[in-house]
Amino acid sequence: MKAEYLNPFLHAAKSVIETMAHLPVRVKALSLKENKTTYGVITGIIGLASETITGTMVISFSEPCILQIVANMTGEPGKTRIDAEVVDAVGELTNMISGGAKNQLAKMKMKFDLSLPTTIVGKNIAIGYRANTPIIVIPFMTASGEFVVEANLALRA
Amino acid sequence: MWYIVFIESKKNLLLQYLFIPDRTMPSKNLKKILFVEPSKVIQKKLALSVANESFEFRAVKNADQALVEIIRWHPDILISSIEVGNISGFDLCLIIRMMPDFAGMPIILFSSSDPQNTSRKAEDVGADYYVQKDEKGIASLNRIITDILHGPQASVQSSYEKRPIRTVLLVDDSVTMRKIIRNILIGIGITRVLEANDGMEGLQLIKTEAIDLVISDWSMPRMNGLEMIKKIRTNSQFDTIPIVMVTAEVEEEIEKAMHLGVDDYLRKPFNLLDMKKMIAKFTECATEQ
Repeated sequence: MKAEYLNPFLHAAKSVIETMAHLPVRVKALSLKENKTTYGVITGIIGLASETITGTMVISFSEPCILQIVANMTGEPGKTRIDAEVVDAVGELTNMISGGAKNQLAKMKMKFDLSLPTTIVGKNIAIGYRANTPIIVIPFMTASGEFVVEANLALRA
Repeated sequence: MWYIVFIESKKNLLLQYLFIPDRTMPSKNLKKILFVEPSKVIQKKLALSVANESFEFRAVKNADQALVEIIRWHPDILISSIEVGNISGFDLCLIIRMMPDFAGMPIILFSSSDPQNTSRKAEDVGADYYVQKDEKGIASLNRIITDILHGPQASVQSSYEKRPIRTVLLVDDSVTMRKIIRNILIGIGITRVLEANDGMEGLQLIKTEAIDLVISDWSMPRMNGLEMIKKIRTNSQFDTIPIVMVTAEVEEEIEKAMHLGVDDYLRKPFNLLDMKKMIAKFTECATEQ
């Protein structure tokens, strides 16, 4: 898969977390996902499609990471567990990241349609990734733990 | 206005006079002008340039001192350099625009930086005028002050009657986003923040409450932000309420929305300063209604 599709999502993820949660983010080395289940305790999913590409973008957070992000975003004391507000925040973050990426892609004259974000709560929950298409995992490190962006994109038949 | 204080010593009657500004009886006729400028030389130049028997001047070196003087002395006009230490003239301007009692104060910013970028930024932060920090710019101050004091639309009297934003309507389906924006608004002194979960609830509140500014998301269930804004704008009673759209939509789409009655927009993600700047713009706008 071409990096030009991937980079806008990486930049958007970094920029959204750093801007909204004031949490410095470091990108780690990319890898291929071997299983097809959620990485973290809470996961946002967005479907995307252009004339040539179709697939899914996933953003999944470890618990300490998302709790810190939500505390920083709202300026309120940290929560101790995932609740409805954290689910809402992940939906909003996923929306902002895909919106940011879509904006970048539009500037590169690539038009994508995005679905509304879906949020899954729970670790190791199966996701309906596309068959025979690599899932690229981009891990991000913060001072409060890790989150990953996963891209499962394929050329349209 | 000044008065003289005599200090009596026990050993001998020592007359000293100290000039202490009279804070209890503010002068009715003299217009008070506050300069914020670190250089004494330029302070003097400014005073000479606008010297006039109907003006009273004070000069301070930085924005911190300026804020103290604004609160204590209530100047009629502020003339500030942009380069004034830790808090810049831009930030000072933003802060003043958020102070309910002083938000309408005429502000003139001046700087020696590139005029094109700086003047744009000065406008963005809510300055009324921008002048270059050179002989010509300083010489133009006299005319600007006359415009402010006697101009048909900019008398000091009417500026002080301007009403800052008191009630903001926040329309967003995300509880988190509402909380983030509400906390920023409260942080800058806007305590009355009404919240709606979608366009339908937003419209209802517009009809029943006196709203000074609407901040709305775009993508929402039941009625999205754009549909709500179209409905607000078709009602002549509400067509002057400033509306800001806060959205993650692509810029191209937002530009289209601007034609439908959105006054300005903020793209998500945004930071504290982005939001503050946006509100500062509309404190001016809202108060002109």
